[in-house]
Amino acid sequence: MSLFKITGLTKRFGAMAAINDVSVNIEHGGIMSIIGPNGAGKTTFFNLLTGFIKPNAGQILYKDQDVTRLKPYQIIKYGISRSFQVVSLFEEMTVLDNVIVGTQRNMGYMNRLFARYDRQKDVRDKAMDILDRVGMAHMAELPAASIPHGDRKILDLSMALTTNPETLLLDEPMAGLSKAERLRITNVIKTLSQSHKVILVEHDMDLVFSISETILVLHHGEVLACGEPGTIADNEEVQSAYLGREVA
Amino acid sequence: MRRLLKDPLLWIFLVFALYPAIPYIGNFISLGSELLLWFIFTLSFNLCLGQTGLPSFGHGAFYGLGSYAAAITYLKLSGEGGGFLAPLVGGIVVGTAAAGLLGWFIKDKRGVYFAMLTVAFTQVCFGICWRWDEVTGGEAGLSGIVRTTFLGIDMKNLHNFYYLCFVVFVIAALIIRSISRSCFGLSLQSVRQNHIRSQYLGYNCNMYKFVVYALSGAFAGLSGALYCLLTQSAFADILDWSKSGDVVMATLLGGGTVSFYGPIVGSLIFIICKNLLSSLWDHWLFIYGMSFVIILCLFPTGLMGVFKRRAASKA
Ligand SMILES: Nc1ncnc2c1ncn2[C@@H]1O[C@H](COP(=O)(O)OP(=O)(O)OP(=O)(O)O)[C@@H](O)[C@H]1O
Ligand SMILES: [Mg+2]
Repeated sequence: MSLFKITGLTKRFGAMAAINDVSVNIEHGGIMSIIGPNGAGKTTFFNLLTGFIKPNAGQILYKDQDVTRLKPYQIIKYGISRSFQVVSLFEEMTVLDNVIVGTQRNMGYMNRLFARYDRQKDVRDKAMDILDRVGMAHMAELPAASIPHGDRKILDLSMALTTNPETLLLDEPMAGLSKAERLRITNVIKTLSQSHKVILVEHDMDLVFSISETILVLHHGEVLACGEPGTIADNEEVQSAYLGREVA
Repeated sequence: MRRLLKDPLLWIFLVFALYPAIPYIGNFISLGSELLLWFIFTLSFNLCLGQTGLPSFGHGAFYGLGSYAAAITYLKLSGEGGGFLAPLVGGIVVGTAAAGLLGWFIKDKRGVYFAMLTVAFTQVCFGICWRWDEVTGGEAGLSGIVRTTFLGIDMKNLHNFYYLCFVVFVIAALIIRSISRSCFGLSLQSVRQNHIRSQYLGYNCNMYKFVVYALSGAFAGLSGALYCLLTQSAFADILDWSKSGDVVMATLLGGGTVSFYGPIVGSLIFIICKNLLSSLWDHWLFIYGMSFVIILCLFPTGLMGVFKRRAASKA
């Protein structure tokens, strides 16, 4: 059973196919990375996998279950969660409340009409636990809008953890970060990959080739190659797609 | 105890419990009742706007339909012997049903589209009530509603009716506030602040929009029903879209987008201006409108926004 079995997946924006007839089986072991030049369709691919946009054609099976036409709030029940390339937070809430929105949903508290959300000890504990895991517990009470970009990236990621996912789709979790911050997030991802199946979109080739078990290369909405880092690095098509960009 | 004393609602309750005793203004006892039911109305409206981000610019529809429902319940069904509660229940039921119906059809709309559809809805309701002579009395409206005795208290007495409105306001305000601070309230907040992320955390945002809309319609219908009992009549002009605009203006002016108490502050200013300024000068709306524009240009988050920022910078 593949993690994802994707057949003939196509998404067009006007005349341009952002994802063009993609068929691929994602078998999972370790971290899998998706690479490709800007505009290759990586984010669109995630948007399709999570039901945020509907494909024009094709089918997505997640562990043999058809999830093609489901909406994001339904997809998460299958254990798929994602983070966002452009951080997507509740800007007027504190760091902790950002996480609580997710944990209270996950623990089934979200429709309680008269229970104060900030007095639910188990929801709060779970949220603090998640912040603790990513090393952000000390920032819990700060407004989300006020914390540094690197921490916002991590907060975005920890919100994805609140749904208790099995599979994590991470869309450029390190975009725009300093070296030190990248290292910090890399460690978080490595830890997460022990308990979750991680699919990572990332531009940093050194990192991708060092931590991935499998690499999928997208180019102009099509799969250029898919395989182990070694074979991808030797692939001539991949090298020419990345002309001017270093590969491994 | 400390915390209770710091609770703004407690002080608001206290002021309005003593309202009839306030010099000068206290003599306008109907004004007091109107204030209280406007509080209920705008607080419920703010569940949509401030809490969930729904620009329901035709919210007067539920207020108006609630008032008609109360009048019709009284005139056609309950009558003087039918008890005091029947018209209020009628208003709540119709307010909920109308908002639920509209909400169901526009729950997937956002922004301007949502706003325009609610305005269109209120205009349709206005048209129907204005024309349908047999049921709504058409242009003449409905009159002849009598406030009957309730729990042995004579409601024809305006002071007694004021205190009934006060009790309803206290209950409604406590309910709405605890909803806004509840788990459900946080869910609504998440829909307003980032509906995409909210979906990715498992929330069916459209469903929340529908539910909160119907819920808000219930309170709007209730306040409309109280208005019917206060004026002992129901007219189509409260369904006019410009009346819905008053609610939006009052809520924004008071700072409903940043504070639970914004709608109360805004209603206070609006209703007092409407009743006192208008008797002094015919063109009071000009002053009110200008001050609205100026205040919101200078302080986009309204009066409570200013207050909150002050408090934050002091802390
Ligand atoms: N909602 C949309 N409407 C129209 N075009 C879109 C939309 N979303 C993406 N596109 C286009 O689809 C193509 C693929 O975009 P996508 O965001 O998936 O690329 P990406 O691989 O994630 O790029 P990057 O590395 O810059 O994040 C781009 O040409 C983009 O302009
Ligand atoms: Mg992208």
